[in-house]
Amino acid sequence: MSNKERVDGEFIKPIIYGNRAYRLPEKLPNNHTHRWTVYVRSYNNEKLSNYVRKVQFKIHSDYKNPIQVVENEPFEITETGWGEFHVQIKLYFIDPMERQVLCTHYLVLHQPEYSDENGSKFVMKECYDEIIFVNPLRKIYDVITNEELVDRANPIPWQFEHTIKEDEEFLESLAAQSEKEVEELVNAIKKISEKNDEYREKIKEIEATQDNTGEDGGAAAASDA
Amino acid sequence: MEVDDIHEEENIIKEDTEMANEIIKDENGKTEDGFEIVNEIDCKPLNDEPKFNAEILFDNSEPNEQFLTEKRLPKSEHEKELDNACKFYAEAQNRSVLTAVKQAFKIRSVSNAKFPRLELPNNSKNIKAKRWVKRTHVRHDGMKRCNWEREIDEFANDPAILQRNPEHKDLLNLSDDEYNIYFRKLDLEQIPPEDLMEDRKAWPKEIADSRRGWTLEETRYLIGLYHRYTIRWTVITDQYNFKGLQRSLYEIKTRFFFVFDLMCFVRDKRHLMSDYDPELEYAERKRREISFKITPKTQNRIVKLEKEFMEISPADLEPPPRPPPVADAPAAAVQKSIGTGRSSSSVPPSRMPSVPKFASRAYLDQSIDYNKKIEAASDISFLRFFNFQTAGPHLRSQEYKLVSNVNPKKRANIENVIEGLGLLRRTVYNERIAKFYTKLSTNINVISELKAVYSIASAECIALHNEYCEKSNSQIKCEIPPMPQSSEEGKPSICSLAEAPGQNSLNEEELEQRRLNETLEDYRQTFETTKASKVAFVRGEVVNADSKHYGKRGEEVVHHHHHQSKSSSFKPIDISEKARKAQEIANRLAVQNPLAASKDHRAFSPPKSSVPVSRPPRPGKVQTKPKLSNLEQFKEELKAWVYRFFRSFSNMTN
Repeated sequence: MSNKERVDGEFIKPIIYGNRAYRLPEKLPNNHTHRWTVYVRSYNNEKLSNYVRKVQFKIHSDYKNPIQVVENEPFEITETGWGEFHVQIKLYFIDPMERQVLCTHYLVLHQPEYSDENGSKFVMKECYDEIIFVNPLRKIYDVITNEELVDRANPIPWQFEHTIKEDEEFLESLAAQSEKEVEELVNAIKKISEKNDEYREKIKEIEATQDNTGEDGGAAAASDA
Repeated sequence: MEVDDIHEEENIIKEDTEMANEIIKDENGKTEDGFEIVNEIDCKPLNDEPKFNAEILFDNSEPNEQFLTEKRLPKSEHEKELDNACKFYAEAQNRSVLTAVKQAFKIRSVSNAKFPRLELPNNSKNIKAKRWVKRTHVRHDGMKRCNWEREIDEFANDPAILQRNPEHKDLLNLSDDEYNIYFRKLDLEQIPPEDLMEDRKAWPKEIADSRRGWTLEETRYLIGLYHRYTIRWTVITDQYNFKGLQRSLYEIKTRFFFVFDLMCFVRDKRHLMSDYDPELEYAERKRREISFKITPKTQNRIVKLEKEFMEISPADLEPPPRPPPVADAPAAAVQKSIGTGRSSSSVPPSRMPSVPKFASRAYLDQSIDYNKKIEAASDISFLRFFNFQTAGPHLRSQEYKLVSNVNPKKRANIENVIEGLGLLRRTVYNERIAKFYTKLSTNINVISELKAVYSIASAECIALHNEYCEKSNSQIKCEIPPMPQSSEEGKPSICSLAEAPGQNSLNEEELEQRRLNETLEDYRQTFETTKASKVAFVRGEVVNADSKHYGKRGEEVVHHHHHQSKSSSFKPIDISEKARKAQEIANRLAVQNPLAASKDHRAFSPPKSSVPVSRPPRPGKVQTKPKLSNLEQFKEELKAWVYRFFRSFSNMTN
């Protein structure tokens, strides 16, 4: 019964999903040139299987089994291929009452390249994302907030550390710029409207004077005739 | 006759006709009530006038035999009954003797009539509706009766309808003695008062006349009318004319039933007595009248409508406030840069600052409220992002996304801007980043909307400036505050990247294609005008340069275009454009057909004077015409025409 209750609040769990790709030394007979691995991991040093029951990877329909489900750690699949495509990743949680989350990842085979310790090159692309639990069920709440499962002392060294801050700052500046531009545009429009009113008044004055002269002239003509 | 009682009477008549059983044949073979279907024009007094006087009663019409055989009561019993009756009369103070008598003897009338029913033919399948015709019946004294009736009515003068009960006939044979016994005392009491003359002035005739008593003669006259017309009180009342005096319907009815019932009672035929109660009838009439007045059917509706009208508040009657009308851009040059129409269909028109197609000079009178436009542009309520308030888990990356039913153009716009800004990689979906991202995308949208507003405003400013310069004959520079172009650090501004909603996001190629299509249409028009000039369009005519129609057609076309250019208010631009288009087409065709192009060069070398094309060939010299195929000839002619247009327009401008 208590499992069905929902706990109010938002709880965030950061995850990483991405792929690595190694170039095969020789092209396979089916034209596959790379071996790639798509995976989902937790950002923190913890087991994702604490609250994730299974992960479904949906890959390109050309593959024999386009939908592959992984129910144990590590949540990843490895295949060979030659092309890049979007991979749909669906996370199922412990409590089947809870909804699944869906994300997509573009499988890269060529960029960006990194060098391994051994010197061999591989291509890796990872995304930092956060699962936000809004009013989670009791069961999940317990697991999420259980700090014992998380090993904060030994964080996993991801590649993002230096990029996160840069991206944040960049976006912040962009947002600020957009705000500024909005203001500028609004001001410009207001100025123009003021000018338009000025012009309109002037034109009306001129027309009024013209009409008066016209009337006078007409009256004069009538009186003459 | 009292008109409002007719309907009542008819109902009662229907009941009473069932009692009658016998046919009364008119002497003259006409309808009982004396009406004939007559043309109005031929309305003449008939020879066979029905007589309305009391003399009719004294006709020597032999009664039927069966009535003669009726027995009467023996005298001894007769006397007993007489005594009883007299007592009742003496005691009864009101006229409704009948009720008293009935109550005393608890008698109910029993109707034993056997109304002969006519058996209708049993064709239930093919029953056709019979034709009805509106006919005017005219009586000899001028009364008209307009009725709808069947064209061919089988039952019109059917005597079976008006049959009477033969038993009743005998009852109404009053002998003098009987009258003296039963009625005389009563009638003598009915001597009218002396102030009759005043009544005659106030009331209608028949009611005033009714204020007199009944005599034996009149009673017999009434019975005679009954024999003639049966119980059709309205008819009887209408035809009633006893020595120039009339009676009201209720008087007649009352008297008749009184006589009849009394005779029934006296002659021991109580089962034939009717249950007519004049007081009850009077009460019924009054009740109906009052009830009709109390519940006015038409007035009720009016009252209801009035209520509804009162419920409507004046606020409902006013139309909802409309947004201010959009000013029109005056100059076509500015117009082209802005583009036409609206882009998004998901947003109601009042939100989008739309740029109209056609220019007009209405801007002078209308001042656009730019504040409102700014507000409308800033309205981002349609830009719905992922709803991250719902229960259940979701990803941060989903918060970035706009809901799919937001205009895809807008989404594409946002994407483009973001790409242009260099924010390609999206590997991190942080909370802060998500926040900034949503802000950025909303602002992109706002900027693009404001851009449109800005363009409208600037167009208006330019127009007003131009007009002001015209009118005041002064040359002032038009200073429009610029859009934010680029920020520091050399990054491009969002303004420059964002597309105004009215802009066509077409490439140059597509624009070219459009222009080509337009010119094609122009050409089609020109050719169609030649078609319309009542000359069948034969290719040979066009191709043949020496044809005599050529010059005419050329003039026509030139005139047509001249007319077109006059109608449009922007003269210089149209013509130059057309010239430009014409030149383009010529160039294209020249490219396609190099042979013809070479020919063109010769054709394009203009002669000094405008020599007409239809020049007769030089005698003597054989003109070797170039051996081109028909198609090529056609193309050649086309080019020649184009050149002619170009020249004509350039002549006009020069």
